[in-house]
Amino acid sequence: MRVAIAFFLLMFFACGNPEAKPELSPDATWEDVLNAAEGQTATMMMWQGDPLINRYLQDYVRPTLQKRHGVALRIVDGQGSRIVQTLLAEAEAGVRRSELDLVWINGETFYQLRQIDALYGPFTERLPNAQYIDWESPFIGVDFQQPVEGYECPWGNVQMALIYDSVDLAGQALPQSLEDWAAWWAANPGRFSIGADFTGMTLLKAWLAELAGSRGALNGDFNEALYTRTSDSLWAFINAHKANFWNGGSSFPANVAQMHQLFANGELAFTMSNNDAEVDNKIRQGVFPETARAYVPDFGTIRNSHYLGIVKNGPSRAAALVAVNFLISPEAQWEKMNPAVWGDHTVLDRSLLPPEWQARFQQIPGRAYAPDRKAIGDRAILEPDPEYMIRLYADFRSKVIEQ
Amino acid sequence: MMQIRRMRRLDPWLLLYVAVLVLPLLFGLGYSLAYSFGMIGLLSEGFSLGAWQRLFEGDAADAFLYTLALTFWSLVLALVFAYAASWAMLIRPGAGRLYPWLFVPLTLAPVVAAFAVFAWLNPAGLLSRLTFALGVHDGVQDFPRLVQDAGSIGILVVHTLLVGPVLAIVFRQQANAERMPALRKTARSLGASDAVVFFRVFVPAIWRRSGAFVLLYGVYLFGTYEVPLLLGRSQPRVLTVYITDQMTRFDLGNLPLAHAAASAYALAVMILLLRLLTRWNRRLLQP
Repeated sequence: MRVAIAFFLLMFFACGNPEAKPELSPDATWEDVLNAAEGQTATMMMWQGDPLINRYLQDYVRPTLQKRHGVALRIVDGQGSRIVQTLLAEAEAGVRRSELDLVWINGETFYQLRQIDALYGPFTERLPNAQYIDWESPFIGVDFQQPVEGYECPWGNVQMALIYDSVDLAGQALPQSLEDWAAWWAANPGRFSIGADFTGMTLLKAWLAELAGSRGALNGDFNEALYTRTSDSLWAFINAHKANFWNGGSSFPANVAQMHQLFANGELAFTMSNNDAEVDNKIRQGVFPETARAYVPDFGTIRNSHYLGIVKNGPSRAAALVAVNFLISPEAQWEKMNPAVWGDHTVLDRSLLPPEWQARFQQIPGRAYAPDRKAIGDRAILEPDPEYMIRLYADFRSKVIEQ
Repeated sequence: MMQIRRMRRLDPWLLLYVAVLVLPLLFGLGYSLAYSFGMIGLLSEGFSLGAWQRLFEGDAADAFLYTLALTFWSLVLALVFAYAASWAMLIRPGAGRLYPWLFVPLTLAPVVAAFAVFAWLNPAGLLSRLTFALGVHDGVQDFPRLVQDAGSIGILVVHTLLVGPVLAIVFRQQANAERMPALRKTARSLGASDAVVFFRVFVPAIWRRSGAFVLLYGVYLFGTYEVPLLLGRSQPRVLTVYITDQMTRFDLGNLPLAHAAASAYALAVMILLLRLLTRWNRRLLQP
């Protein structure tokens, strides 16, 4: 019995909920932040599915932060829903000291984290390097039609691209419109699919905009009538052709990793990525053949940014601020933009940078296989209101997958 | 006074077990139930039956029926394998050498087995490449779909591989405990064929002793996650994949629905277990 009591006592004390450290004073100077951060460990939750991105963080960011600022960066695996579930569970349990300090998020997760009030902010004005960010760009300062208002800091900017094998499709015109797609599916049955995930829904948003009449047709608040009208056309279009999809349209890849695998196997003729430069990465990693290429069709694709958020109840706020400031520094952004390192486009406005950095950015080696960034800019579509994504997810399942 | 004495006799380890394992599970179930009725949760708007209504309107019923069917056919195939293997070890002297090999699948985690089967059976997998090299088909598009397929073949293969050998090991032990070799010899000497011995003696005797164990494996298969996730189709999905999908959706409004599905699943399994096992084999529930 004594053993049982001892065990209970151990459990009781182990479940304690230590108080969060007092917040940094709003008046704290950047010097104060740097001093407070020294010796702290910031825990960052991020997707770790790409070896190049992991290498950038592990081999460059972590040692540099430690050496220059005495900040240890601890990276844990998790993205989107995992981040939301972790912080939601903490909030519901009344935990006042989160296990996370920093999260890598996109608009989808930002919307959810703002719903549950899990983000610290506004904080971007405190960061010295935020002066170089291209806040005027609607693809950076606005996330899913929501002003970021200092609650997340832009880290990189990408545009969706479709990836194909130039040898496999030699002699074929790449589909540029929905009519082209219908003809291509009929001529190549079983070689196309849409992932039932964020990336797949991002393609559907572009098709929705096309059906709504223009690339800017979905801008602004969610429009129920517009959505109903255009999504009905979208589902009718997909269902009319899905027999020509992979697996007869009876199943859809669960995520983009599965799409990539099916593409690499030769089962699919197209895969897709939210990062227009990913084709370079995947060829370098040996995942895709060297003949793989990426393109943005005439109807356009969604361009958006990915961001860094600081957790409201994170225990090492100063360290998190220092880490974010470093990650948006010209140096770290320049390193990240190199296609051999990551190939993620910068969020900095180069005209605002000191001259020496402007010159260095101009000398970054070009992309070998990805489409030219400037050329696809005029086919960029803004992320629509989050409600479009919510509805597309639910309706794609009920009106396409389950049909 | 009697009650006090009885309480004193309660085993502290039993109390510890209840406190550490049973109570947290019941607490989890209570939490999920409360969440499903909107009584707790950060975005809760008060008591509501909405999530439970949605549970019966959406594709949850499809998921439940599909999971039930998959469990049933997995068990049938595993039983066929186990009966055949244990019978073979009984009647064929050399077949006993199979016995040590039955332990090999026990070393495989379900997800590893699923990956192995995927590597073999997917249209660009090893079997497809082998048959392509032999000129059986013309390429990826011609190879029949054996994973993520309408018949759930890949899932059934993995389940049979994982569960069949375990049941075969148990059946062999039970056959020995029932003195089956002697029974068979006696039956044969009285003129019964091996087929009669198998169907009239071997199958019912083993089933009587192992039925409850087989049903417990059914509960395990009912709750399997990784194998159908990797080898199953987008629709229908097994219950566990359905619940996880609802739990991780973009729309946080789906969380009560996910908890309703999880609660329904837990309650269904608990009721099934209690009903079936108490009817089937009361001894199993007694100390």
